Amino acid sequence: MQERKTTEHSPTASGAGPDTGREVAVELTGVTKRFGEFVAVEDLSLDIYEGEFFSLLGPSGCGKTTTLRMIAGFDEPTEGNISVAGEQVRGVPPYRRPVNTVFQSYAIFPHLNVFDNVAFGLRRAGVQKDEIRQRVTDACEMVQLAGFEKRRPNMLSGGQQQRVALARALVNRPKVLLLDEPLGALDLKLRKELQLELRTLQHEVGITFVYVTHDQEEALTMSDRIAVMDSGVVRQVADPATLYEFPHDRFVAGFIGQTNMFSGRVEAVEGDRVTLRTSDGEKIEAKGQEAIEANSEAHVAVRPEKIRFGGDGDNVLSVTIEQVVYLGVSTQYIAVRPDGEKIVLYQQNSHDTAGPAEGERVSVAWDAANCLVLGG
Amino acid sequence: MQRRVSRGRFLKTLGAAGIAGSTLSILSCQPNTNAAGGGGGGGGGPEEKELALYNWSDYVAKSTIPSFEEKTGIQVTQDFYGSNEDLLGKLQAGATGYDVIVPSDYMVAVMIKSDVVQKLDKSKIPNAKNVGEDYLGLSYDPNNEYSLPYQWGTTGILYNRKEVGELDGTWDPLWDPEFEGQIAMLSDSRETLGAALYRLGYSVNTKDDDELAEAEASLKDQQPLLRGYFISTEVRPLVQNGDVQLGHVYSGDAFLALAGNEDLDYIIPKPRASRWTDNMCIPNGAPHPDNAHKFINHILDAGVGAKLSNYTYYNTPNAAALPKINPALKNLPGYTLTPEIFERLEVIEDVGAKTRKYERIFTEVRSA
Amino acid sequence: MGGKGRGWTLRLVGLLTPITVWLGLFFLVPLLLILAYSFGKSGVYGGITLGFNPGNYLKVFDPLYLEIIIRTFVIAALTTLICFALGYPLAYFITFKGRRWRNALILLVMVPFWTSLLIRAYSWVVILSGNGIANKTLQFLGITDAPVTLIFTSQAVLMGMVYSYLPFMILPLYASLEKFDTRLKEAAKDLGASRWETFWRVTFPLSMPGVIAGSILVFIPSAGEFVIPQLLGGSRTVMTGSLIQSQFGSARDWAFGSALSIMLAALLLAAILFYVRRVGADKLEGV
Repeated sequence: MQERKTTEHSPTASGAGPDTGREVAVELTGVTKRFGEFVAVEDLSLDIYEGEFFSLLGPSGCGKTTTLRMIAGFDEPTEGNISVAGEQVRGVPPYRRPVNTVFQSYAIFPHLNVFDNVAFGLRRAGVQKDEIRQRVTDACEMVQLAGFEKRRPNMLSGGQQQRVALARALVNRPKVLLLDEPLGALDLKLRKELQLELRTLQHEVGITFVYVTHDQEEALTMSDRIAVMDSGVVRQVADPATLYEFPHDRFVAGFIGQTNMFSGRVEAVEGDRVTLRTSDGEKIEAKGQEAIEANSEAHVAVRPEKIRFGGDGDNVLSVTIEQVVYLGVSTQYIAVRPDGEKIVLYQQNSHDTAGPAEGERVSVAWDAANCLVLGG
Repeated sequence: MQRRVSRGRFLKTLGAAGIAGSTLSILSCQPNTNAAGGGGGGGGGPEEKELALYNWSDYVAKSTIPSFEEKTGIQVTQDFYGSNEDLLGKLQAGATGYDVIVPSDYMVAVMIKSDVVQKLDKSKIPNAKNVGEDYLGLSYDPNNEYSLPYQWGTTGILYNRKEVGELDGTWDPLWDPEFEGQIAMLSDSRETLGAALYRLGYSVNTKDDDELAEAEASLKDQQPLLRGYFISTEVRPLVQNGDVQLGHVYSGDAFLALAGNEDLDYIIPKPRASRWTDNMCIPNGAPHPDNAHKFINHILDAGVGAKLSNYTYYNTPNAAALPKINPALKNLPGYTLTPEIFERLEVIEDVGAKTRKYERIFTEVRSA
Repeated sequence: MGGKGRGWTLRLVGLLTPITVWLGLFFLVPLLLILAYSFGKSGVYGGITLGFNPGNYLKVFDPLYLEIIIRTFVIAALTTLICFALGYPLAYFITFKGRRWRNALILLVMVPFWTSLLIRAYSWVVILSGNGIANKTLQFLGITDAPVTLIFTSQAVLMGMVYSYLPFMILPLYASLEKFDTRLKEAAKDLGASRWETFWRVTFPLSMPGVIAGSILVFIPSAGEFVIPQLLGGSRTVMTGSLIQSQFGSARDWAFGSALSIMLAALLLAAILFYVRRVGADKLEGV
C-alpha cells in the first residue's frame, strides 16, 4: 500500500479550496484519452477527496463520461495515471477496483429479481449468506425499496430501477461510487426528489460520489465540488457558489446559469478594479480575478439578478425594455441597448410596485464587484 | 422392395426414395399430370390423345416414349415413384389419372388382391406373343390377366475378383469373417432375409417361423461384418470405388459396374437366388385405357424392347427382342443364363400377413 | 360494438383466415388423419380400416421398438448437445467479435440452406468414402497409408446430423445474443464479476431464450431424422424416423406407423415441456 496522499495545495483555479488535510480518494494525473485521432480527455489532473460529492459537469462530448469510465476501469488512459484510494489502477480490471458504478441506463440485470440484483456484487465477493441477506435488506431499505426484493425489474418504474441500481452499487461499500447521469431518464419532478435523496444518502453513507451530469442545476444542487469540462479539458473546479459567483472563464460563466457578457478593451487596471471600453464606447467597471494588462481585449460578465433598475451604481446603461416575463418569484426583463445588444435582468417580486413595462426606456445599473473579468 | 433403377442419376433416385417416397406422398392423392380424366373407361368413344405413365425413374430408353408418340400421336406424361409401396399407397389412397404403372412381381399380386388394377384386353396387345414363355404365367398372376412383363433381372453378388479372387458360387462369402467391413447388403427386407434363407437352403417365400428365426440368427451373425445396408444404386459405386469388396445387388447395377471394369465379377449364388420382374398394369379408373393398351403393346415390340434393355442394362422378357440385345451386354457374366442357372431362380412372392414379420426381423437385425 | 371496433375485428379475421385455413388444411387435418389411422386396423395389403384398436399403441412397447425410440432420443439429445457446444461459441464470436463482418458471417451460416439437405448429405458420402477427399488428404499428408473407415458408422451419422442442424442452433442463439445489452457486461464487471462469472451469471442466462429455441429446433428434426442414418450410417443406426418410414413402406402397416408417429410426437412434446420447465426454472434462480 502506497502512502496515502493528502492535499497541500488547492486544485487548479479553484476559487474556494477544499478542506486541506483530507485524504484523496481519486487522483488523476495528466490523464489523456485518445480514440484514434479524437482526443476525448486531454491532460486532466484532478484530486477528488474522500467523502466528497464531486460532479463532472459539461455538455455532451466534453469527456466527462470517458473520465468516469477510466476511473471505473472500462477504459484505460492513453497517458497519465489514475489512483483510487491511494493505489495505481492502471491495468487493474474493473472487477478488482474498489469502485462501483450506477449506470445511466441503470443496467439492471433483467433476469434477476431485486434481491439478486442487489446481492450480485456481494456474491461475487464471496460474502457469507447471512451477511448478504442482512446487507441486501439494509440496502433496499436505504433506497426505500423494502418489500420489493422479489420483484422482477420489468415490474419496476424508472425511479425504482434507479434505486435498485443505487442499492446494487452501494451495498458493496465501495471506496468511490461513480454515477453516470443516473437521473437523466427520469421526469423532472422525480429527478428533483431523487437529487435531494441522493444528496442525503451520500451524507449518510459518507462514500465518495463522483457524479457525471450535463445538468448544471443538478450539479449545483447536489455537489460539494464541481469540475466543469469542455472539449476534454477541465475549465474550473470549485464549489457551486464559487463557480456561480466567480466563473473563471467565459465557458463556465455561460454554462453555469444565465449571464450578461460584454467585450472590450482594457483602459485601466487599478488593483482588482479594471476599466473596460466596449466597441460602442460604453465604459464598464469590473473586478479582475487575475492579473490583466491594459490595452488587452477582455470579457466581463454580470449575472442578471445583480442588475437593478435605476441610475445608481458603478455601471449604468440606458436601455429599452423589450420583453417582460413574469416567473412567480421573480420577473425576467429583456432589455435592448442602443447598439442592439440584449441584457437580461431579474427582479424579485417582493415589492408591491410594478416594474417597467414593455417599450419603456429605463436606466439599469450594477456594481463593479459583481462584474467579473473572465479568462479565455 | 425398393427400386430397380440403375442409371447414374443417383440424386434423383435418392430424392424419390428419401423424400418424395416418404409417408407424405400417401396423403397427396392427385398425380402430377395434366391428363385430366376424360372418363373414357372402356367406353366406346374415342379417347383424348394422352397417356399418363407412372414409373420408376430413369426406366425408359431415350427413344421409348418419342417413338410411341410419333407412331400414335398420343402425348405421354411421366411421373415417378421410389418404391412399390409408394405406388400401392397412392393407388389405395384413391389416386386416379394414371394409365400405366410398373409394379414388381409380388406387388402385382397385392394389387390384384387389393382390386386396384384392371384386367388387360389381350386382343389389343398383339405383341404379347413376343413375351418368352419363361416370363409368363408366374405365380403372382398365373394367367397374365392383369400384367405383362416389362423388364426382369436377378439379385446376386457383385465383387472385386482381382482383390478377393474367384468366389465359390455360394452365398457364404457374404458371411465370411475374412471380409469383415468389406461387405454391403441390400437394405431390402425381402432380398436380405432372402439371402439368408437361400444360404440356409430355405425358400425366399417361407412362412415358417422356425426357418425365419434361423435366418434372423444368421443375419445377426452377419451384421457385424457389414459396412451397412444400402439401396442397390449405392452398392455399385461402393464396389467400384473399393469401399467394399462384396456387394449384394440387383443385376442391372452389377452389369453397369462390370461394363468397363474387368476386375469385377457378378455371380448368381447357389443353391438359389431371386429373380424379379417388373410388370406393366393398368390401374382401375385409368382415364385412357385404350391408349394404355397401345403403350403396353408398344413396349412389347421387338425393337422397342431391345432398345429399352440396352439402355437399362436389365434383362428383357421379350423373346423377339433378344437377338437385338447389345452383344457386349449379352456377354457379361450373369446376363445370359444357362437353363441350369435359370432353374434355380426363385420368384419373390407376397407373403401376406407375414410381411410384417419379415419387416420386424429386418429392423431387429439392423438394430442389433 | 362500435363501428370502429367491428372494422378492426373484420380486418383481424381477414388477416387470420388464410393462415387458419392453411394450418387447418395442411397441419390439423393430416394430424387428425394420422390420429385416426393410429387406432385403425392395417389391411394385409396395405390400406386401413378405421376403428378403435389401441393394440397399435401396445406394439410400441415391444422392447425392440422401445429401444429404437430410446436410441432416437439419445442420438437427438447428443446432436443437440454437440450443436450447442459448437454453436454457442460461434454465435458468441459472431455477435461480439464479428464487428463489420457480422452480417457476412451470419450469411455464411445460412449458405448451406441454399442446397437441399439430401445433396449435402450425399456430398458427405463422396467426401468420406474410401476414395473420397478426406481419405486422399489423409494419405497425401502421410497420416495414414490405407483408407480409413470414416463413413457408415454411428459417428458419421452423428456428424452428419450435427452438420445439418447446426445452423438451426446458431441462428436463434445469434438472434438472442444480438439483443444483449453490452452495458450489462460492464455492470457485472463493475460489481466484481470476472470474465467467466460475467458470462455465466449474466450473458448466458440472458441468452437462454436462444438456447431453448435452438435446442428445440435441433432436437425435433433430429428425432425425426431418417435420411442421414440411411446415407451416412449404412442404415445400421435405426432411428424412429426410419422405423415409421418402413411401416408406411415395405411393412404396409399404416396403423402401427401412425401410432409410432403419434407416440413420437407426444414424447417430443413431453421432452420439450420438461426441458423448457427445467431450463426456464434455472433461468429464474439467479445464482
